[in-house]
Amino acid sequence: MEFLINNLLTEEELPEFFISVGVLVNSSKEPIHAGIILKFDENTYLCHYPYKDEKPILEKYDNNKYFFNLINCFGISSNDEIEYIYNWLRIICKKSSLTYGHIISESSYSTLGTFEDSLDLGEVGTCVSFCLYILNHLAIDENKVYLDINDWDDSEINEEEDEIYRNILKLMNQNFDEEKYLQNRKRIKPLDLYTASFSDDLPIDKLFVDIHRDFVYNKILEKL
Amino acid sequence: MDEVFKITINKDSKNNDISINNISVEAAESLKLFIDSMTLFCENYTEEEKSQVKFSFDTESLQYITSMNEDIQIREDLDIILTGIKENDFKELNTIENSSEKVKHLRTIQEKIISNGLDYSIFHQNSDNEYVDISKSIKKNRIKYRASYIRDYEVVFIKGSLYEVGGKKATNIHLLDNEIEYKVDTDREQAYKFSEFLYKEVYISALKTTIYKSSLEESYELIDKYLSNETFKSYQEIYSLIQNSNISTKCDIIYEYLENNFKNDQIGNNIKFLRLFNNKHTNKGLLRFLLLSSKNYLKINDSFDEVFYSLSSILNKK
Repeated sequence: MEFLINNLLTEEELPEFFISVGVLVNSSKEPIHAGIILKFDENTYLCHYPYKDEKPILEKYDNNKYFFNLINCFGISSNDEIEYIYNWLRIICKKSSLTYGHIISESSYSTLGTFEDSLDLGEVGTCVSFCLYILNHLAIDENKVYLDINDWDDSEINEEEDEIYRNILKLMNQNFDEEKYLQNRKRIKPLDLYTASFSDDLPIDKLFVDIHRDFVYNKILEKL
Repeated sequence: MDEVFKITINKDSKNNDISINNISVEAAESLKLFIDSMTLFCENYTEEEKSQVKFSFDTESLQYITSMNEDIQIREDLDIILTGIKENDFKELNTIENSSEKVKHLRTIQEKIISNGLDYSIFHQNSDNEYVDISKSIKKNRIKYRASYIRDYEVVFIKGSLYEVGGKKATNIHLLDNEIEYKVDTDREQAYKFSEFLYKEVYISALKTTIYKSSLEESYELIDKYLSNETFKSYQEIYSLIQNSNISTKCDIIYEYLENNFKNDQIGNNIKFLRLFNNKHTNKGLLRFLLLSSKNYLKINDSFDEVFYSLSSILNKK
């Protein structure tokens, strides 16, 4: 783990091209948001789901409050490859109609940016779900998902907030299956996704995250 | 234990004995070259490593000795000129950096030993204290430099009259188009399928390899065949459009093409499309994009799975 933490970088320390998981830390030192950050041809981009009623976007990165962790498990080794992934993300963002809700599944943004829904609940998720749908698909091997989400549950969900999101989902989709949503809802916090990204051994499980979460967070605090 | 590389000049070309007190001009020339080459050889070491190399002479015979610490062995580099491994192959063996630069200087020594008719003894004492006479092998395994020709690869579309199919060892199909003959490598199964089209017009795509020797050498390997001129042209057009676009446009074209076919249950078109990229010369990023764009259509069609896994295996080897 000590050697992997070397990948925990600030903007000035970044290599020429990369794909990374980024976590945004606010002024209260809380990791509040996650995104995929990538760089090629000397430009850095952030692909993320900004929240609520906005669509996922791919934009130029100009926020120095993110912490990066370079992802090595996909065997990406050239600037060109990142440019192709950038274009894939561009298409995904154009096609996506993600609605906010505490759903995280083994769904993925797949063929040509269309959403492959493993739960049949529609394109619902959080900023972490969005990253995960992308990462799941980047693991080219069809038998591999990026994260084994089974051990996460709904304990981190704020009930009041969740009710608001459910109401929006109901408004947007008359066939919204609330019961199924409640059975399947779960929340993975940005710090958990970020911590998971320090493992190269797919699928990454909650045990890894539980063991390393505090260590990773302390490293972030050291760099703040 | 130190590693030691010794070159002794025993006799000159007229069979006169050579010693430290009796050096002929031709022996001096050889000696000078050995000293120069070994000095250049050591230039590839770090300053610290260099400090562990010592040169010396024997007190009587004309013996030039290079001793070095066991950590910076000369053995691997010597092996290249002794075993006849060609440098290009050796590079592929992923060996130490600077190896080929160092080997170049050992090769200069080797060429001198072979060329000027003096009598030499060459010994290598390795870190296991084995003292090996390499005089013969250094002469025997003179490496002929393998010319590394520039090769170009491109996907080409050929239509022509099929005038020959088969072959005893290698299987080919032969096409004639406007007086130009194409011999295209294929496997037996494919060749058999082509045989029913003998003396008819056929439409194919192939991977063309051009080797730039004194004269151009061209060879072709079958990728796919098309049943009509119309289909042939459509793949030729889409492929050429993709080849001539920047990455962003390329992705948009591929996206639209694949999506339309998937939507309209034309998975066969996508199989033929992906085959055009199913070779190890396809850009790694493009391969990844094609796979990302096709992953969720696995387990529907065996031929599609086959081309997907083939692309994925090429990606993993890159």
